[in-house]
Amino acid sequence: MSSASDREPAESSLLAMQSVAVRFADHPPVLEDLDFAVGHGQFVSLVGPSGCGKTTILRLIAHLAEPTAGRVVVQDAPRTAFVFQEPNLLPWRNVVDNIRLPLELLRIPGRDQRPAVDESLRMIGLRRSDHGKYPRMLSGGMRMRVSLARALVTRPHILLLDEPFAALDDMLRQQLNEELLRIWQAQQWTALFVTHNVAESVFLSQRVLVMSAHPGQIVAEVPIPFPYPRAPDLRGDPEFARLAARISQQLRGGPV
Amino acid sequence: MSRRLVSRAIPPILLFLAVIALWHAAVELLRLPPYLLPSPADVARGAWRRSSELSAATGVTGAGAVCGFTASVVLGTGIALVFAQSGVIRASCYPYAIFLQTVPIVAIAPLIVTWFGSGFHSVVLISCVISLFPIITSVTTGLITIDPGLQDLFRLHRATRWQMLRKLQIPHAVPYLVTGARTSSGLAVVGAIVGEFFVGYGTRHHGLGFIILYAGPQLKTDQLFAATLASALLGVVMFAATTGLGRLVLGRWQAESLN
Repeated sequence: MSSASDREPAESSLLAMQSVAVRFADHPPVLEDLDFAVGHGQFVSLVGPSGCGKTTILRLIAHLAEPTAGRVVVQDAPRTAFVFQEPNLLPWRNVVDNIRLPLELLRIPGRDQRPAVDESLRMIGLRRSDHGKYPRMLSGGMRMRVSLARALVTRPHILLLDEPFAALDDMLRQQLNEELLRIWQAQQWTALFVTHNVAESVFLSQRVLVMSAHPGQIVAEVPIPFPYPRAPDLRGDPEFARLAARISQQLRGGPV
Repeated sequence: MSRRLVSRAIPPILLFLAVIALWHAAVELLRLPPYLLPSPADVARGAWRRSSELSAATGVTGAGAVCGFTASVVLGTGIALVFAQSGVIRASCYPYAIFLQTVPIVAIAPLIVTWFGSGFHSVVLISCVISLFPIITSVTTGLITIDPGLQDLFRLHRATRWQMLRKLQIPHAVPYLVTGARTSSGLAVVGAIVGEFFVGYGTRHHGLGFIILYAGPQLKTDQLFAATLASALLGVVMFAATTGLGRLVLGRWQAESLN
């Protein structure tokens, strides 16, 4: 448990942005007056045009960047994992050793690493024959799976995903979205998912935060009421189409 | 694999044979005196006659080059590790590293002999000085040009500076070291021969540099050719050995980038 001073009295959220701004001299602010909260175990997506500061929000939460103003509150000092846009695998390590890396950096003893790596590999569905392969031998989709397995290996409380499937073709993206939801339901981490694909955000999340650029701000918050587990044919549902259309409208800056 | 090797070996071999034939024809047709241009057969005969001397000399020069090269890999990697620690260190030391490359080796070789005396160690030192620069630059580049995404990955897990160096920067620099070492291996042979010009081991125990230095003025042009070819061969062997070692080290993860 973290110190009580980090807690907002009336809030049960795991992480919160409070009047956060990020500015660099002589540039329009990257983020301005940002306020939102995400509760334990929620799946929230951020959609917005490129340059709206979506990635910066994830970096603030991961402590890879600092706000110029306001507060980023993350409760209970949880373990945070990050799935980057690029797989960011180390080319000199094979699949298993890449997944093991975070445990090594956290100085987890070797005998405790193996079960966590095995569970991560099982979750992500990598065949045993792929375990010894090097990144250059893997397809783009496989690299992204390994990157996801590496993020899950520390059993994170918060998973930050920065357009992880943007470079993949649509079939593969949908398949990985379904797998991601299955893992989320099994492990119950809190997800903050950045994308500019509206359908993806509707399919995955309980809530979509729509952003505008220059300055980066949240312009709308759209709850997605579908229950989980969500079947692939949800994408053909008229309500799904209606929600996606509404978010697209918001992105274009139109009325609700 | 072997088929690819054969298809890559055939064109240079054909070119070699063509040059030999042209060379032989030129000597025969133009009736060139052997002190100006010996025929390929003369060179081969000369090399054969003095094969024991030539192979001993190649061994001596090779030993100097291998030791100088090894020293430059160790020293250059050490210097690069220091350079990688801060931009201030790089900015203040880099001009002096460039000095290593731009100073004519023939100008400092006599100085090295003056300071350290003649003998094997001075040949090694000259060979090391001339082959050091490519190692420093390439390894430094490998240590500091890390993808920002990979840096974020390590920062996310609160990696220490030591973990950063050991698990990210050093492995990342290995292919760069191999590239630098390939350049250095040839330079080390040049350094050893230049070193021998100035140092000399005496007449009984000498390297290719000594033969090249004395065969010329005595118009033993066939010996000059043989010694030159032997030193070129030495350079090729060093280059090939370094490349092979590099493939072995890089193994499966990056072998295809070395051609």
